[in-house]
Amino acid sequence: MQEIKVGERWVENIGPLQVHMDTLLTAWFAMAVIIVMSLIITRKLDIIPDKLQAFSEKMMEFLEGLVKGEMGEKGLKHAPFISSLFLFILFANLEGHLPWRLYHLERGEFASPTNDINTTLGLALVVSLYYISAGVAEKGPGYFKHYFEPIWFMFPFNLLEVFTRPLSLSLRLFGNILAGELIILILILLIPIFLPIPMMLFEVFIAFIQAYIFSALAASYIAAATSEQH
Amino acid sequence: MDNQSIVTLAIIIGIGLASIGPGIGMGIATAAAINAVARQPEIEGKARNMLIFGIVFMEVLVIYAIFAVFLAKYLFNLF
Repeated sequence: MQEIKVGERWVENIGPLQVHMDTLLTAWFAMAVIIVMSLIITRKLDIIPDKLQAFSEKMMEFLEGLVKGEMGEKGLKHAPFISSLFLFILFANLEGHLPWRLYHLERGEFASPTNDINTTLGLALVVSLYYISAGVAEKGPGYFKHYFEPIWFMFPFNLLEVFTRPLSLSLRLFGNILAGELIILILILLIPIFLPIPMMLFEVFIAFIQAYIFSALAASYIAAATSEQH
Repeated sequence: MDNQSIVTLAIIIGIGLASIGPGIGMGIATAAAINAVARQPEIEGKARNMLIFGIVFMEVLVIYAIFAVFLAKYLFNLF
């Protein structure tokens, strides 16, 4: 009988750090898949693309379109960052649907790395640092002036946004993926045959939506930080 | 009822209550998007984009609730 355990992890102590090994290994797996795929696709590029190359070109066009829609032509220098975010989150979410659970660990289990709050909070903090430094690179120290607009006593409210943005980004991704896995587990507990399959298909859709949302929000934060308006 | 089952009941009721508001909001947003596309079918892509964005901001409220009740359970077990 399957048991439902929330938040149990395979924890190893490496030096002063507590490492969640299951999250770490699955995150590395997602990265390895992306790296190997890009190596295979770029090995022999051609003017007349084969199927894989056409697919990846289409994907890059979609991601560049996402960035262009937010920031226009001059935002294309941020496209690599947004695209890597999208690809990593997409593969990390989809990875949870592989039959990892057949391999039993002593504590915890292999699943999506994004069902660990540490992964998503890390990604969200990277996004925060990136959009603040992009704003500083674009406007110099004058970037911090917009925290005092429209009037100086709005400063605390504007400062609040610095904290709520990574919070909502990380909790959204984490909550969606964890809730999806919990619902599938509960359905497996109720009726193990056929019942979980529609929910699993829905979770594949959710994986795409969440990756899109995360990267689109990151793009819109960068756009707001680098735009001329404020 | 012992304390543990009261906490479990609180989790169930809490998530249920928290999902009422965003549920109504999502219904209104989806209805508005369908109205917009019905009036002006050529903005379908734009409307879908906006709808996804709006829905995501509502959905995060339920996720906050899930997070809060699990945090509450964890804190309860701690003390």
